[in-house]
Amino acid sequence: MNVREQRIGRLRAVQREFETAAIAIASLRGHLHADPSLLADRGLGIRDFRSLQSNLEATFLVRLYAEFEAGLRSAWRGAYRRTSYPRISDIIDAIAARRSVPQKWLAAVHLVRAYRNSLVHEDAAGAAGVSLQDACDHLCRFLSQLPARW
Amino acid sequence: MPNAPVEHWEQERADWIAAVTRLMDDVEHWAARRDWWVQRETKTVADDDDQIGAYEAPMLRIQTPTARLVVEPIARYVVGALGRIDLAVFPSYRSVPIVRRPDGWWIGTSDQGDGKSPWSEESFFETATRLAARK
Repeated sequence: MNVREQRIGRLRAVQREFETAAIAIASLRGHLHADPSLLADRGLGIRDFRSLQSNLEATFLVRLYAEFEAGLRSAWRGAYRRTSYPRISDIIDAIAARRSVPQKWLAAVHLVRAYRNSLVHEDAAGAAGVSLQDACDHLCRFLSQLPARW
Repeated sequence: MPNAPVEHWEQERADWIAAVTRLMDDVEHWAARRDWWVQRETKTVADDDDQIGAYEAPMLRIQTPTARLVVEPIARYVVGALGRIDLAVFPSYRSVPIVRRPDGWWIGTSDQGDGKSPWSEESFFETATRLAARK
């Protein structure tokens, strides 16, 4: 497996973890239905469970994007021999130009980036939402445009 | 009708499909000279739908003595060029871009790095042979 495939694999692993967590939450919901005090021993309650449930996808999206950014910065240093530390949006655009990436693919990556930024900077109203599945597909497609090794 | 059509979008689309078709004709002709098996198919391209709508364009499946290759249109609207076709090898799907610029088509020299050569029978076979060795 080359470096590019490894980097894509790390994003796919995050997506699988998300799916596993979603199953675990569904299971926990059933247990809480049977025993609403299940979390009380640890000082947790139904509100914490609901918060976990509603924030799950956003939490994993931030992680997914972190893996994407780490992969791009690694390629920036390793494949392109660059020692600078530009904004990630500039790296995305530079790689898109070097690799003749379709404009639609580039736009999809910037959509994910904007949504991730809105989550991190608590400005969720400022960007269109993207599902984790779609985000993973968009980011992996972009990473697939990198050189195979560095 | 595209969402954000470029000016003369129907003509732009027709020009792009014609350019893709000519390149596929090149490949088909060159491959036949080496007795490589070639099958022409049609691909629905949707990554330009905002500018020129979804469209159908030719693609090729090629069987060389050592590998299976595919030549497929990717998009007319790409960053820094006037269109892109990919040459990929199965099963790894390693690919190199064939990029359209104002001065003609250029083919990536490998799936590593950004090197490109002017489109020609020689550069096509060099890249195809290199890809086939990395299937």
